[in-house]
Amino acid sequence: MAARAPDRRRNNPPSHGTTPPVFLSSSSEAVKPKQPSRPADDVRKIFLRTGLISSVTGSSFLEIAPLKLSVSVLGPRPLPRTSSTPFAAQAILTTEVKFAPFASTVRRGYIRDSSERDLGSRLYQALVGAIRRELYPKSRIEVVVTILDSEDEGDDVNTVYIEEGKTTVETKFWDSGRAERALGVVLAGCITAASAALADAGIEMFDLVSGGVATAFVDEVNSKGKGKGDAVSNKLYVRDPAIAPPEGKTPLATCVLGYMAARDEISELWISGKIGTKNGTAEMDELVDEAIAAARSARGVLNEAAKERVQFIVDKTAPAPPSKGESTDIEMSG
Amino acid sequence: MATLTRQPSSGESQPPPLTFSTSLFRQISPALYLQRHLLHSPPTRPNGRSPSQCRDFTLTTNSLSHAHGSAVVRAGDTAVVCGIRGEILTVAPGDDPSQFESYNSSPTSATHACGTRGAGGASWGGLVIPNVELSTGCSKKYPLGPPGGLAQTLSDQLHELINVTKPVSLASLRIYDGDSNLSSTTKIKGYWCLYIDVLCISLDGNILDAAWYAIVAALKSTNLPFASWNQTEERIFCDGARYHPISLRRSFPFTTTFALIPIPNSPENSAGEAAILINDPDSYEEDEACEILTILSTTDMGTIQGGPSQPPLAGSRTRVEKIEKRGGWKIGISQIEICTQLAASKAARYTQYLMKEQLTPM
Repeated sequence: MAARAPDRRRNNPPSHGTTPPVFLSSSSEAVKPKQPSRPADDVRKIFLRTGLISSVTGSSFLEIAPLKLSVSVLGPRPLPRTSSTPFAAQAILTTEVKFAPFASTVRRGYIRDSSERDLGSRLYQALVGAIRRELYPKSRIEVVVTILDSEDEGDDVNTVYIEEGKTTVETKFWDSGRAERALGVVLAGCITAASAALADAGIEMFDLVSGGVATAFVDEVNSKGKGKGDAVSNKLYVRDPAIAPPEGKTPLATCVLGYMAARDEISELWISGKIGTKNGTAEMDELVDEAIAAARSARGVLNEAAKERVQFIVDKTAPAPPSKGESTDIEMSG
Repeated sequence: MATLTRQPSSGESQPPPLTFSTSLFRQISPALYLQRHLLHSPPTRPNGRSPSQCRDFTLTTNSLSHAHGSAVVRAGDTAVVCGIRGEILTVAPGDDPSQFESYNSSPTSATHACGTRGAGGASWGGLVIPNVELSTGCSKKYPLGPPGGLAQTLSDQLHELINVTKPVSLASLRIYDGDSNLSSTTKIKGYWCLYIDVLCISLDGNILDAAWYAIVAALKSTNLPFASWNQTEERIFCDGARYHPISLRRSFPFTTTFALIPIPNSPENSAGEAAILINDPDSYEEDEACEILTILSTTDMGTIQGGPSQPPLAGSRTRVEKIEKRGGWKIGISQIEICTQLAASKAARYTQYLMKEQLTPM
């Protein structure tokens, strides 16, 4: 890898540049992608906890199997008073999504890349409609997401398969919708965790936004042109899909959305793939409904996390028995 | 609720005194608030600890799936995640491999007397590259975006700690050619380069100790795949089935940080102390400190294992490797001695935790 100019603000590797390790594997024992063991309409267990970072207004930590992310909310705080700052009648929301350098198979740099910026703008769209921004004029709310670990889009990128001793073929175990599924799961997690953190910060919202993701799969033969007529009947919708597609299936489209369950509104919708070409709206509606179902189950976790936090705050601020309170406090006099 | 009140004087006609709630007092006059706590008998810090008490910490290793080694350290409200990834540096045919096997020289440093810090801070580094990221929304104080002063300082401090302590045997990072006919130097085809990335998730003071402890724990948990030079393909391949730990030095040094809080002369200050040393400061105390003392010390546990019944220092030897003091002139030799002992007991606790964590892998 050719070395670029060193980053003046960080410690740099040797000027020779480094490459990620490349693994050697014979095709016979090539790792087959692990099959998801859960049913298609089941979502992974979600761990969500709020208020872990004491020095910011609101924070949350979310874990869905390999995905681990931490969200902190800074603000609402006043905009800087400079002549260049325009008047803002509503709060200005900024969202930042950053993968840790060790969060994916290939080491990411510290400079945000395009996919991180893309995730950030989608997260913005999902949240901006839910926040009552008119209550916070001339102020700024920052949502920062740090992804510590993820199920990566390219777990097999760095593997070279040797066939018949001599020829090396670099097989990339990719199918068309792989990156979308990987980013979709990350985005759905970001949305859920970010609204938990916003609630923890006590920012007024119309409703909590929860993220949901679903993928439509068809049999592999169908995608190759044969039996196109039955494609509709064989469709398999998987909620919260894993990176590896189910056995003998090929992905059609992935839908990620931000959903406000109490208002039954979708704040962000992202469908990528081939869907709706034939039976138009019906197919798309089914996919969106599946994603909404996934978002609803995430909403259950979100509600519990919010409730837990409120209970914690109520317990903490409740007046302690007088005997206990006096012994812990030091009297300030002078 | 504790209140700030004036002592009632003899005159009855005085207006009611101005009182503040504790939390307000904490906000408007942090220096006074801290001093009052420390002058109280027994001295107690606002966070409830005694001056020499450090925070409890938790350590979890190898919880990340993509890193070769990782550790999460949480000490009070400071939480850091450290991930270590190995990448391969391929040695070009004409290169002298020995230039990589030193902590103090780097390819560009030959012309610069001050090592890797030549060229105004922008230079190429060695095989072990630590970086700290603070713009993760870990605290209100640090803006997002490129690393600010503190993050750059910390990265540099950790780099220096690595250069001083030499935790990894660089010779063990060599990647060899499988052919045994070649001489030992020409057999070296590449090196493992260790990227040490420390992300601060939550910041409440004393990040250096937490970051360094996370780095040590992550280094201990690191497993790299076996790598070798493939002659037919002329590149380095790894074996995904076999992993090996990296060879590290026997006993690790740990840092312990103290802060010195100045106490002005006042009627309450009956003992006449000029300053009070506190162990493991949080960010509130760090803001008020006039001096910061960092001691890097090794505790060698020897052959005797300190059981739960034994005091932590039983059968151990302590060696100070580095003392760094920033600002002021108030810390004397006697105070440094006290701090060294506290540092030794903390290093012993760190070592014990580390061994316990290694014995029960997650």
